[in-house]
Amino acid sequence: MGRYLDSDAQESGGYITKLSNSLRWYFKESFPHPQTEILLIILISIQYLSINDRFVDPASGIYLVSQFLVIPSVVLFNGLVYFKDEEITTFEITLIGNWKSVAEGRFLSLLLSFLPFVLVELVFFHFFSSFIVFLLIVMSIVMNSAVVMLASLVPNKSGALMVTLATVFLLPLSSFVVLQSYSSLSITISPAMSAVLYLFSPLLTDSLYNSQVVILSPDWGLVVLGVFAIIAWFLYVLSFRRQQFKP
Amino acid sequence: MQIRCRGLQVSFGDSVALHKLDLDINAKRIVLLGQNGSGKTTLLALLAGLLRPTEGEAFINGICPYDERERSIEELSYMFGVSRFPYGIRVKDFVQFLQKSRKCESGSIQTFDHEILEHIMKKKMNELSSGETKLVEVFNAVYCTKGALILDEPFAFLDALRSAELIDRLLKSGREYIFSTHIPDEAEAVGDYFIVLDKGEVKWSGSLDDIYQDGIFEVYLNSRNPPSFDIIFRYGNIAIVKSKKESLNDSMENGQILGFRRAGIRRVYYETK
Repeated sequence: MGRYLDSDAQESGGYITKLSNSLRWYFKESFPHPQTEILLIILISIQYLSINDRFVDPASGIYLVSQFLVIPSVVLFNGLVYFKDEEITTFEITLIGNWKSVAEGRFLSLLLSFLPFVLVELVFFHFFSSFIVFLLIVMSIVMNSAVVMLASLVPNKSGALMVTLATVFLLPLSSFVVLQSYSSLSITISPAMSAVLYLFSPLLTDSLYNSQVVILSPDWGLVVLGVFAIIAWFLYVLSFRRQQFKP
Repeated sequence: MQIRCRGLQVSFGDSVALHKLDLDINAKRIVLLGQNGSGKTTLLALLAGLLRPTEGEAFINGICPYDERERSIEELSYMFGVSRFPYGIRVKDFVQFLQKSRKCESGSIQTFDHEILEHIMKKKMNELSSGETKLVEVFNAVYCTKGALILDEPFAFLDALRSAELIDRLLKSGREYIFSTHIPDEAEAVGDYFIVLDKGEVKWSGSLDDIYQDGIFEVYLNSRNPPSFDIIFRYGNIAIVKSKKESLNDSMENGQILGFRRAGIRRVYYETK
C-alpha cells in the first residue's frame, strides 16, 4: 500500500514538474508576439472609440465591436500559434516527455497569453462600470480557446482553420441575426435557446437582457460558457492523448 | 532491447503498411532497413506509441507503447523527421531549456554533450539547414534521456564527418536502440541485429555473423580497368562478387580492383530485392 502511495506521489510530483516545463517551453518559443501586441493596442483603441461615438448607443457600440472584432481577433491571433504539424508535436512530446503535459501546457499557455489583454479590459470595464461584460468577455475567450485547441487537433489544417473561423466569427454573426429577428418581432427567447445564444454571442445576448427578449440572466450565460469550456477542454486533452500520428 | 510483435498489421485505407508482422528480437542495437515505403517508419511509429495497429499487438521492453503512452515516453525516447522548426528562439535557448528541465538525473545517460551544437548555438531554430535541424532533433532524443532510443534515419542530411562523430558517441554511450537507415555502411557501423522490411513484411533478419558469409565479397572497382570476373550485382563502383580471397588478391595486384571486403548489408539488399 505504502509503495503505491509513494509511487502515486512521485508520479504527481513528476507531472507537475513536466507541466511547468511544458509551460516554460511554450512561453519561450511562442511569446512575446510583437504583431499580436500591436493588434491588441489597435483593437482596444477601437473599443475605446466605440464608446465615444456620439452617433450610436455607447453600449451597443462596445458590444458589437467586442463581440465581432476584438474577441475573435484576439483568440484567432493567439490561438493560431498552436496549429502545429504532427512532426512538431512528436518533437515536443519527446522534448517534454509527457503527453498530458504537452496538451495542458499548450492550453494553459494560450490562456496565459491573454493576460495582458484581460488586464487592460479589466481597467477598461472598471471605468465603463460593467463588470459582468468583462466576465462575459473573459469566459468567452476561455471557451473559444478550448474550441480552438480542440480544432488544432484536426489533422487537415484547412479543416482546423474552418472550424476555428466558424466558432469565432460565423456562429457569433449567425446568433446576432437570430437575436435581431427575435428582437424585431418582440418574441421572448426560451431559456434553452438563450443558453445557446449566450454560448456563441454572449455580449449581444446580454445586451438584450431585461428587454423581454432574453430572460436568462448573464450569470447563467457565464455558467453555460464555463461548462462548455470545461467540456471542450476535457475533449481536447482526451483527443490529444489518443491522437494517431503517421510520421 | 526486446521487441515482440504478433500478427501486427497497420492499414491506411486500402494501403497496407505492415502486413501480419511477427517479430521476436532481443538485441542491443537493432537496425531497420528496406526500400522507401517498406514500412520502416510505420513500425518505428508504432513502437514509439504514436500509432495503433489495425490488428495484432506489439511490445517493446515489455511495454505496449500505444496502450501505455505515458509509460512508454518515460521509458523510451524517439526522433522522427522534422523538415523545419517553427520556433523563432535560438539553439542556445533550446539547449538551456533542456539543461534546466532534464537535470540529468541518475540513471540517465548523457550521450551527447551540447558541444555538438556549439557551431549553431547562435542560430535561430527556424533558420537551421536540414542537417542542422536533424542534429537538434538527435540531441533532443538523446540528451539526458534514459531507456531505449527509437531513431528514424537520424543521420540523414548530415555530412560524413558529423555522422561519424555521432555514430562514435552513440556506440560509446552503450545505449540500446532501434534505428532506421538506407545507408549500408551506416547500418553495419551501428547495428548488431538487422531487419529488412519489404512491402510491410520481414524479408530478412539476422546478425552481423549471418551477413558476413565466406565466399561473397564487396569489391571496389577500378573504373579505368574493368574486371574480368562475373559480378552478381553492382552499386556504382562497388560490386558484389562470388569469388575466392586469393583471386581477389591477384585482381588487386593487377590493378583491376582497388580493394575488397566480405559482403555486408549490400548483399542482403541484393538477395532480398
